[in-house]
Amino acid sequence: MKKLFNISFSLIGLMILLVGCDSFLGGDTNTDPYRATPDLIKLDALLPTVIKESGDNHYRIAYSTSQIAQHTASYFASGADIHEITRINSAWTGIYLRALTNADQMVKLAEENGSPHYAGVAQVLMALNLGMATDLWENIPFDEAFKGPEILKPAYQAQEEIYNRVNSLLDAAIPNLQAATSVFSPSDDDLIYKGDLSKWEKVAYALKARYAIHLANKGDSYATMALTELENAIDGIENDFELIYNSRNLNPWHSQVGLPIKTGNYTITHSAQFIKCLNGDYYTVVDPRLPIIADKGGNDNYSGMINGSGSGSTTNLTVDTWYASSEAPIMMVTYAEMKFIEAEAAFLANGGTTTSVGAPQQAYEAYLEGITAHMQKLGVEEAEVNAYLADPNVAVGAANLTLELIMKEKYIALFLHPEAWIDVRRYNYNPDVFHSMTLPENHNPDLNGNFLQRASYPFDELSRNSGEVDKNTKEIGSRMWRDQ
Amino acid sequence: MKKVFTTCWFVTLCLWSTLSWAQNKVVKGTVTNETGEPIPGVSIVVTGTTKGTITTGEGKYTLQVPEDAVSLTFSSIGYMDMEEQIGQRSVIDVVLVENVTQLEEIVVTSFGRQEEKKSLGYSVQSFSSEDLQEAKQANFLDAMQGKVAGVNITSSGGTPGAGTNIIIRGITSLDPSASNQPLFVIDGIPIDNSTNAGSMLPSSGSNSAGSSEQFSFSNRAVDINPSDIESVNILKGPSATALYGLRGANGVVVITTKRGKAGKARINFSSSYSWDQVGKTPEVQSKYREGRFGRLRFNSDGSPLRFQTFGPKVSQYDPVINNMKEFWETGHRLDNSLSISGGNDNSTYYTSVSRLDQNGIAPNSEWNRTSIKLNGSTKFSDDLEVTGSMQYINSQGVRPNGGDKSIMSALSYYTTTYGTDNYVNPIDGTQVDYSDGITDNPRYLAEFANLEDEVNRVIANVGLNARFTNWLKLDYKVGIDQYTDKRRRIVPADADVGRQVKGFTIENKIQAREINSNLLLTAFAEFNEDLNMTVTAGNAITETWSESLNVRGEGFTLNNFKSIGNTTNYFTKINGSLRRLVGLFADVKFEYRDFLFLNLTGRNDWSSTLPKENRSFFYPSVSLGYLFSEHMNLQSNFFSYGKVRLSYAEVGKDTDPYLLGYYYEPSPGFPFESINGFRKDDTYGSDRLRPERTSAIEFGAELKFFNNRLGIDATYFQQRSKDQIIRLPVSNTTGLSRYITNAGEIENKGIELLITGEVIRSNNFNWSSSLNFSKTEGEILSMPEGLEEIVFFDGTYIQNKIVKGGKVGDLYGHKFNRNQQGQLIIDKNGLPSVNTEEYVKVGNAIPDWTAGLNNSISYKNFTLSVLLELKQGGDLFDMGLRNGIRNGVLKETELRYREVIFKGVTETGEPNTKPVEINGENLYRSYSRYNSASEVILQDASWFRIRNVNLSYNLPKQWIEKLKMQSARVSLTGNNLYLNTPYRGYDPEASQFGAGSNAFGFAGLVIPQTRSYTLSLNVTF
Repeated sequence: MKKLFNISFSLIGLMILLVGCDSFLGGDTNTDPYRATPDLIKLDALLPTVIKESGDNHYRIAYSTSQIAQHTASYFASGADIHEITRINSAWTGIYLRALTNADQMVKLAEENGSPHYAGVAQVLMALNLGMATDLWENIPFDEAFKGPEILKPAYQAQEEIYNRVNSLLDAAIPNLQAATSVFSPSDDDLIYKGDLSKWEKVAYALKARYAIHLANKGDSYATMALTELENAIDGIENDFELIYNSRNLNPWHSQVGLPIKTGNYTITHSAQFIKCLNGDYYTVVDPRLPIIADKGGNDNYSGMINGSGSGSTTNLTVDTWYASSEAPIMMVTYAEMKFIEAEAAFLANGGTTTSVGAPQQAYEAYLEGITAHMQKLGVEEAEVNAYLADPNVAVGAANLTLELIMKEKYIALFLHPEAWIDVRRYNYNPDVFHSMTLPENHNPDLNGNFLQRASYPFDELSRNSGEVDKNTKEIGSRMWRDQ
Repeated sequence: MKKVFTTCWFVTLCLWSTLSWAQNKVVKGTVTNETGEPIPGVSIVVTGTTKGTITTGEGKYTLQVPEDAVSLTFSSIGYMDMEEQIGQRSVIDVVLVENVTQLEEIVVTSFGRQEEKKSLGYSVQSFSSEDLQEAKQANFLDAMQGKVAGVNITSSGGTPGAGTNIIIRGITSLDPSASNQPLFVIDGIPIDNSTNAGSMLPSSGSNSAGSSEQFSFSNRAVDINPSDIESVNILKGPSATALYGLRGANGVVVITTKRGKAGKARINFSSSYSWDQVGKTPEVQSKYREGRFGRLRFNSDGSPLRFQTFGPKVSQYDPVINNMKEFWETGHRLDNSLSISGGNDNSTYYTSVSRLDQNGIAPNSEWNRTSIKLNGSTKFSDDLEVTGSMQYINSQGVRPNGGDKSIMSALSYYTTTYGTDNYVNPIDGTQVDYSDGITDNPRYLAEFANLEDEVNRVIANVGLNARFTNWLKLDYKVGIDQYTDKRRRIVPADADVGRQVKGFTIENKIQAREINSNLLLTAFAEFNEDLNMTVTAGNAITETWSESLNVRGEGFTLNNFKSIGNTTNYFTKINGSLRRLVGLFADVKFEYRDFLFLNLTGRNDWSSTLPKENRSFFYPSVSLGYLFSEHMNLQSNFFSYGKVRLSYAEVGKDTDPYLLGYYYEPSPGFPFESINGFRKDDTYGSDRLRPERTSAIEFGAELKFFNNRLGIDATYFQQRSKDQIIRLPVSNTTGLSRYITNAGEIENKGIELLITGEVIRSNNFNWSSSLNFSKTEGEILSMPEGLEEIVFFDGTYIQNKIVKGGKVGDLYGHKFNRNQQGQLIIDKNGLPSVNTEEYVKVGNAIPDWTAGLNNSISYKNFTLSVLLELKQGGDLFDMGLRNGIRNGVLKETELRYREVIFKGVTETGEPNTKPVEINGENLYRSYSRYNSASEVILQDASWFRIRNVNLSYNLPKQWIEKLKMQSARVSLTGNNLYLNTPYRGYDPEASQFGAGSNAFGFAGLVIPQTRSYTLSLNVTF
């Protein structure tokens, strides 16, 4: 009996000991063995994520904006297609939560362990994503962002400030990329350039040029500035800043638009506006890129879907088209874009206007080089390239070059790229620049015949940071600071 | 506080040890009932004194009595008191006679303690083994449906082995991912009842909201063989579960399994065979063929283009097939269970083996369960008993898929012109369906795209019961529950969901282990004739661990070799959890003159999931039971029993493991080529996290009339849960999407009513009746600052979300555009339109009230029992309904090509006079005019059903004696024999998201509920 007592009391004693014992409840008990604690993280584990998310963000944005820019049109004739409030929640999350947050971590980590090369790469990627964000939503947070949980409601900043931040990031990135020493440097984890920092530097300049031309409405000095930056920017299609997907990591245009067509789930297809730029309708020349970009199936002719109608299309963005094939790249910053920026900047710097005719030789050469670059990218036969370049509707000569022609070619070369909607808005959907561009059918009556100028803040943000959203929400038909 | 508590209890302990008296004679004996079975827990008192003891589990007692003692008084609940002269005897065996009118209920409460129901200050509802056997359900939870007040038991459909969701007194958590399932305890040791939804989706090509909706995974209590259960007691509120602490915060289901009894070996064999048929199915239209715009359609190459059913009128040669009904087969169940039990004065044993084989109503679906159980106990002395229990279960099945791109969604689109029988090309084994791949052939999915799972599980425990003196005893039990759940999903490349990734297979291995150690010390003290006290103090230690390894292989190389080794792309995911808990608790119960019962408890928990400084937390409870009929001597022929109950309790709740701080996790979609990527987790757990707090009051009354023949038990409860641990959605610009912190308050209140009656009681004819009624409602008192809503599930057209001041289960959706007078606004084309911009509150998924009525009539050897169930209110979104409308399959689309004038007003307010011809395109297929309107797609799922009918016949004594049997019974059971509901889809009882989910209001894409008939035999030797 006594023994029992002893046993049981020592048992109780043991239990109480256990309670006090940190190793039972504390220590590593509550540490997840299947996720990495912050002290374990390395720069080369974060870079692939930021790059891939940046690529995906182009899809997330362009899926909607390509409908507004009339690259594409929707089978449902609703949403962005008819200029209804467009929020693009997935891009907000993709940019802030996935790309910028991890890039911000990279910059901090790189500074901590003396790796300016990584800092530079992360800053370029930050500038790219931050720029895409402000071009969609105008005023957005940056200085107070990525500080959760200390700051749970970051203050929004005006677009002008965000543009300054984009440029500061790029200005900081360039010397970082040029640094003589760096404890860690990207190599295979750099999914795009495999650690070739000189190419990243070209991207930094390319982005500086892009953000300079964005502000062209604010004066010719921005066009001049763009021309200066272009001197160091991407200089050939082999240096394009693009993410090449593969059969395991599917290109989102392929998996989200192309593949569902196979099971009857049609979402968007080429817009009539876009097809008409290529099929000889707007310009009496048939573009050799047409069959590469659009699949007309068994139909005889290429005709796109009239925006806002949900009908009229003979083509689809099937998996056999270049942009929706499984291993297509997402082109983020390309040589072709640089050439068209050069053409436009030289045209404007020379005093050109939306209706003026004639441009300096630099603009004309850049225009032709841009076309060539994009055609080569798409694998157009050399003979066909030459034939197109020789066509009188294309080879108009510097004296007859118009802004319309430059922007038409840029519009084609930036198919399914977020930049297209920015160009369209910079010229305020001007039909002189974008051939015959009109409002979609069933246009959102709230806009009273005006074009959509901005994406609205996502629903999530409305409830999670309502104070800032309220302060910064503007009419969806009002133009951004950038375009004014 | 906790220190004070501990000190108090040690002081009390010391006080009792001084209570002692002269002892100088030992009397022993056994107490049995009229049939010779020992009675445990009989109180034996030296008449006229307070000295006494109670009998052991085998009805034995040993008592030291003073030399001058004259007689002993034996008393036990449910038996007549008996006084026995001692004389010179040292062995006194007695036989107690049952007291029919005084039958007292014994209920099993925390840690397997048996308590008189009359002494409790809270409500408990119990089920006997017979109650559970009656319904012949494979999952014993389903057998309690319609019978428990305040408890919502919902099956996830007709999949064999389907999980069952159980929620006691409503959802108490604002966090959609928090568990609201009660704790399951078997013989004093908690077991795992989780439902692991796993991750069963390909990397692209599915629009499914979550994999939990796909396979109706089992809640793990399904592994328990219902024949092994002796009783189930449901402890509802925090007062009842106070001793279980945080794990009991959602209620506790206390299961007691059968044990052997001293005496001759008892052999029980039961066997049943069931036929399962699909229950209610939606009505389909029968007037139009497949096609669109009123005609058949063709591709440009001349091949038919079939999908929708908006084609030409059916001619006399065209078949019309109701696939939603004819697809289903008759399911079969064969359930056999054999048990042998017995024992002697020192040892008892119970062994059982059981096997259930089931084929479901979906072709090729099956489930089986094999269980082996051994329960035993042995006594080393009168004061020391060792018990042990061991159970092995193997359950496995082939599960059909539900959800999006499943059998169910394919059926919802499937035309009425073609059947599903021609589903496979005999030459190459590829899929054949009428739409050439736009939708799947559901039969093909059933045969070739399903999920196999197999669970191997061991539940074991050993225990020690020691008695130090006649007032102090110790119980210790340690138990383990361990299982592996192996799952394999296969989807061929030509099924819709597998097409984008060229087919895939998933191998998921889940391992789980739970270890519990419970130590209880119980002391009894009688201060004087009027007042006694029982003190229980104890310690509970729990460790739960699980790990899930999920490997997905995509892209089959060889068409007909469905192995992960035959795939091109691999995706591996591993996760797990470890949680440890330590609890110290004490329970003090005072009994004053058999009419006043006061119970005080306190428990302190330490949880590994909370930050160190908030890891320890204490909560008390107090409950009072007052038998005023006894106190005021009110008993009469009319009024026989009256009691009021009152309780207040608090309970804390910890959180899931690994929530504090943040981590980096592998990025989805990686490796990219051969490069891996990590990303910062977007959830950050506050390092100041505190336990959630629930405080509850409960009061109730139990009244009995006409010699206990009519009983009324009414309960009101109100509980508030504050400081909720919530995944607060925060602006993504912070670098986080969720910040885990304490915020928000939710209040649940409700009434539970139970009326029991013995309408007729006679020798040959008995009629008893019981009615339960409950009404539960949850209101959101406060939301986290700056947060306007929490979405529990977004079903695109209908959302289940809560807002401040709103109710749990609120549903939001779109409504038709109406003017201020509520008249429909008709556009210039003569058609209505839906305001798709706005989500407004359109309903609530929680029923207004539920009621169950059980009648049991016995005549001689026949017994008939009928359970009726009534559910009032509760809206449901049939997730397959829109498909059936858009594709012109459902009856409600049959009105076509007729000119109608919609009742309503024009945009300018004039009465609408514009006639319009209704067709598929302008109405049924239109999202903006029709099929997104909640008026169309959200339905009232009230029901009246005959849940269960059971007719049984006990073979007459003279026959069974010849066969050397003790008893033999044959019975016929029917489940869900009748259903009356305004709901147009399948039987509305089949929750879309399976067991363990908190999203209510969604159904329609799970394998439908069945109607079943069972023939069974039960013999005892």
